[in-house]
Amino acid sequence: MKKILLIIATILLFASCTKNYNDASVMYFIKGLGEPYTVMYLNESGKTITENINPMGNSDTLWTYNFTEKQGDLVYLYVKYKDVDPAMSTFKVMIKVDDKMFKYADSYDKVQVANGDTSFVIRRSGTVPF
Amino acid sequence: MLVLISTLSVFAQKNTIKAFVYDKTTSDPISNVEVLIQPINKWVVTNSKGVFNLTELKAGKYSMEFNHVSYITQSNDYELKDGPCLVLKINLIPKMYNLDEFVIKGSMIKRVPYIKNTVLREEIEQKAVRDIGDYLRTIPNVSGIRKGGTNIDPVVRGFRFSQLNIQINGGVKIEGGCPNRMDPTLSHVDIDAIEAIEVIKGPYALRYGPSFGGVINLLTTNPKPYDKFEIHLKGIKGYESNWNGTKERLAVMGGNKKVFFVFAGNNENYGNYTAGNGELINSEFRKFSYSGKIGFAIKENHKILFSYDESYGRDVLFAALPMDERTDDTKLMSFDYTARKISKTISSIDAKIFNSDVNHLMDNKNRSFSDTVAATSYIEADQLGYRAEVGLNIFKKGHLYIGTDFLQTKKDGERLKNIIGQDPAMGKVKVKAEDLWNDALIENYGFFTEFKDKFGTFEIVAAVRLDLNKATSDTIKLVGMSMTPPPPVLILNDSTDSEFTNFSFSVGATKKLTDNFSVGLSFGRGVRSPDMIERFIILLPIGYDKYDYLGNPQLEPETNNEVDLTFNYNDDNIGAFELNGFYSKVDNFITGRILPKTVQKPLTAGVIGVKEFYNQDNVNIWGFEFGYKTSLNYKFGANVTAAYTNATVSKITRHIFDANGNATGTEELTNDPLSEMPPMEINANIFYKLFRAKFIPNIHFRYVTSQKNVSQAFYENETPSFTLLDFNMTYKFNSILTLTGGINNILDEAYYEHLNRRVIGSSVNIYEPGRVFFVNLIVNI
Repeated sequence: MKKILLIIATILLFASCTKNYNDASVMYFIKGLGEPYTVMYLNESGKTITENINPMGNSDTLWTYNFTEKQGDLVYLYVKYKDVDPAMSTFKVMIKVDDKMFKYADSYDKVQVANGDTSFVIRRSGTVPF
Repeated sequence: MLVLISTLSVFAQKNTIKAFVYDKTTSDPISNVEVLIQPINKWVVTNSKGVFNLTELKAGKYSMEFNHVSYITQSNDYELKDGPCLVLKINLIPKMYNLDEFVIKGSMIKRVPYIKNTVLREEIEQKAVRDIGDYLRTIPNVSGIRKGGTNIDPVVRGFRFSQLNIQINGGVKIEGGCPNRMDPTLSHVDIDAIEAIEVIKGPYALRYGPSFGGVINLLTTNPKPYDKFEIHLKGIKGYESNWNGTKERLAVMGGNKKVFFVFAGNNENYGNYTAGNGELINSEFRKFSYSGKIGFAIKENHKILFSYDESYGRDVLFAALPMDERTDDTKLMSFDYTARKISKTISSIDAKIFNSDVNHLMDNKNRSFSDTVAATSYIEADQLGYRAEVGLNIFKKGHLYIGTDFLQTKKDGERLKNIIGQDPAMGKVKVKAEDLWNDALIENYGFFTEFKDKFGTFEIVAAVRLDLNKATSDTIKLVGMSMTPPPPVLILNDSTDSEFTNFSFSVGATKKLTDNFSVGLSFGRGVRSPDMIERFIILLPIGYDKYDYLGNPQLEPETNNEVDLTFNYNDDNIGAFELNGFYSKVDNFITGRILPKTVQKPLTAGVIGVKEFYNQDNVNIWGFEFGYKTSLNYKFGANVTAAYTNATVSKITRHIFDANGNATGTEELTNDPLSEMPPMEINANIFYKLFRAKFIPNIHFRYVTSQKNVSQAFYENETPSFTLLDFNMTYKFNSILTLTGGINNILDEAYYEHLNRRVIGSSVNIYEPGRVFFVNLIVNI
């Protein structure tokens, strides 16, 4: 009896000592930009990926990127957009975690002027919540 | 008729038992041993000479059970015959000796002229404790720095961090990885693995490494030999409300005369707690550990012990720090050799070698500012050491210990900043790497001797210690974040190398004035070399104030010159009193001073500048401790303690700031209070022993005065006074099962200790937990 108790107790103890961080589904989401733009983001490997998107004038074009991250991992979404009249654009830039809104933008963070071109920049970032 | 009368007189004859109860290891008499005599169901307690008398006994068979908190319970049967008094000599085996033969015997001096507090496992199990630093705060003049829910850093009479020699099992050391002291030495040992804790105040115990402000020795469960093979289990399951915290420990121990072992596992899982004002404190943590020890009796009085321990911390939150501990993986191994009674001259040989390896990962991902700069720091800290001593019998009752020890500390680590609050550069999210330590190394070679003897009514203890300390580090690099282009490297010192020879000594005597009254006087000079942080830290906010701190490789060692005067009075009926006064003069006290921003800008968000460590002279610390406990002869009992520490710096420069936090000038202060000194506090316990001490309810009262004696130079905040009321009880069902439980902070008081660090981004200290209900179930099979 004593030996059985010892074995059960030991198993219980060791079984209770594990914990893993949960996975979270992450979605980067851009909609409402009709002119070409550049998007830069951190992917599931933590690498910075750059993509040039051309919606061909269709502002209903949706760009998304879905992947799985662990709690505590970094998410980062950067959009650089050249628009003749930014006020006319109605766009949404989002980072969703587990289908819930995590970061959101519907207006530009800043305007950059370089080489005669005017660019509008949106940047959203954070860590996947624990 | 005559025959009948004679027979009756024999039956009516009343007899006496007189017993002397001694400590088997020291032959000292043991007072306050509770003795239960069956079948007459009588209960007596030994006096200060370890003696009890039982009179008016009929002839017959009796069994006696001897109980004392520090000794293994012993039961014996006796046959009392009519005639002369039955005189018994009882030798009780100390629990610590039995469980920890390798370490305790001869490890710490038995009778000392200074203050030594010992806490046993049984006392710890009665409380709701999850952290050694938290529990130590119950000892007079021991306080703690709270930064989160656990890993409280102890402060003894105002001395802290490396000013305290904290060790495990009489010599093993662990260097925490975190520069913010998320993981001080105590945090790497589970409170439920503790058999006893010894706290020696002052620079007196020099056999166990450099001692500056005191020694804290953690004694964990060691295996013991058995006459024939046995196996046992010890289990603890604890729960605390408020935090919704649970803890478990299981230890399997056994063996025979030749081979004996202990294998154990611990697990703690606590959530955030709520303070008395309803504020939720980010304090959750998870810790678990495994350990194994196996001993071999290689021949009579010669033993070896192998120990291996792994402990882990996960998601330990610190409300007061800019980061939390994400993972902390610690591996500790040691090998001990012990020999006793080798010859008439050589009484003992002890040798120990150990290695500890701490891998500490922390980040700011639970902070709102991680949305712009997500920082992760990784630090590796290793310690390797040995200790060897030989004990000699000299003169009639004298003992001389001669030995050597060595400690090597290595530290390396960096902080990675993912700057996600800025635009990418060169097609990548910006990442910046900064050194926290750069292959820093400290080595300390120690040589020591200690002598103790008894001359008439005097007991003398004297010790001498020599330390050869050297340190080095790769370049300390400092990079100004906002300077474009970044300045190459700023080296504040010509060299990162330093070398010291430190001489420490202590001498003390106890004079027995009467059977009940003694007085002890000690003087000590303890010298310690600067530690890793003080020498080599590269810009982190590790202090009380909001400054990045910068190490100084050219610091001089700190010296504590201390005197202690202690009075003891012990009476079987009145109880025991102890009164101690101490005074320390610290030379080369290590603290921080401001560096102008033109020399170095801070690297941490939210701090207001940079401070570099330097040596400050003329620091004076003094205070007292008082304790009283009633005699255990009575069912009703009480104890009272009071403690106070005060400290000043004779002369110090204070910087004056404008509303924007810019330094606009300086002023000289005289007799400025030293920062982070605990206020005076008074504790009282009242208990009553029911059902022959099987059930003991206890009420605890604690009053802490306000602390208005605060450092002007450090812009330290005052703290208000508070009063606490706790209740706890112990019920021992039988030898297998014990239940303890109670309520902490019954009045749900919202309070914080003066030494609690401030919540990050706030000027308010972290509040302590509000009302907590707790229960511990303890099983011994």
